[in-house]
Amino acid sequence: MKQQRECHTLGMWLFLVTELMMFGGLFFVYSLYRGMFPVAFEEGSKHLNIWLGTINTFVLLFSSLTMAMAVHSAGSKDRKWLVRWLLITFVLGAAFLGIKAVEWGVDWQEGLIPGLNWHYYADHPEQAAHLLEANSGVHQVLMFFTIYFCMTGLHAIHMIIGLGLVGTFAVMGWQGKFTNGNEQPVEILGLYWHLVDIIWIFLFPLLYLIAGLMHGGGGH
Amino acid sequence: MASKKSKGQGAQEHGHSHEGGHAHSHAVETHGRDTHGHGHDTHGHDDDHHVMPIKTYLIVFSTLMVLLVVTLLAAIPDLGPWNLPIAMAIAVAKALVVMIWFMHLKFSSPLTRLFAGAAFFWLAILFLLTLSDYISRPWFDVPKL
Repeated sequence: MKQQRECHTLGMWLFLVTELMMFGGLFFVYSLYRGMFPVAFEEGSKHLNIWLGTINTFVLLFSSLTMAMAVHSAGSKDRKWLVRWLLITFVLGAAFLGIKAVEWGVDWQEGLIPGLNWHYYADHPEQAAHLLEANSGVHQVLMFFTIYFCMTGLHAIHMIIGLGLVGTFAVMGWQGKFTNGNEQPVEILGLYWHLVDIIWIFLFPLLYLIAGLMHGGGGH
Repeated sequence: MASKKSKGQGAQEHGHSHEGGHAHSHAVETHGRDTHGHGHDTHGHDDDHHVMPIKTYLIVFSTLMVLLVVTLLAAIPDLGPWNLPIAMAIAVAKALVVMIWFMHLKFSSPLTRLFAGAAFFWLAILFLLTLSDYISRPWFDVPKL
């Protein structure tokens, strides 16, 4: 029994390591281009809404607490609270995605979506001229937003998968499948959820806080 | 004091023992070994089968909230090159808190911890070796990208 549990936990950690490798590539691309074009990244970051980002960080950290409580309830064989905590986690995860969708909607209106709806340089001609000079003629605010959407998009895909799993687990938990001494699946789901949280913990300061608290925010 | 209490009262005490915060890591471990009423897995190191007291989770969450506020405060002054390392240090602290407590690395086997550590080891290779190339290019007059 102990060895089985160990295997399951270890297998999940191995998967999480591969997840970190995948995100690690994106974080590396981010580091490289931010190092090359610090001015453009700062300018791009000013167009993100720091307060929505902060609320989302709070929501996600809180959902990690409720997920940990779900694991706790499964371990204590408390079926009702297991289902409740999973449902609260689901609601928080959905709230995160809802806020993210609002942010992306604003980005769309402001023409900050590379490839689909991009008119940053048209809207900010003086800024664009300045940046083009400073960055040797390459459109690097575009690069910031490409990286922004790749990273937050991949993160959101993980959130959607996580939400599907949490919902499924809530139904299965209601049927008593995790409170009969078989609580480990909930623990493993918890590991995944916490990892997605950890990735956001890094995304938040790297994407939103580049220009500082007083210069970003507001969305303009 | 807290650990004596949890030893004495066993499994019923889950959420309520450990009032003494300072003694609490010892208390949790004692707790983990002594209070499994599940009939199996009572070997010395039951690795991921821990029911931590609720209070521990609340302390962990409060720590994360404090760190979130500190991140925001640290982003107010313009510290030049220092804003980024400070923000990253706080993010690493948050990630460690989540991994050690929420992901139960504190109670995991050495092998599991090795796996978790390996992820960061490989990331370090990715960043250090590749960035050392980019950073050192200007020193040797190599053409830029």
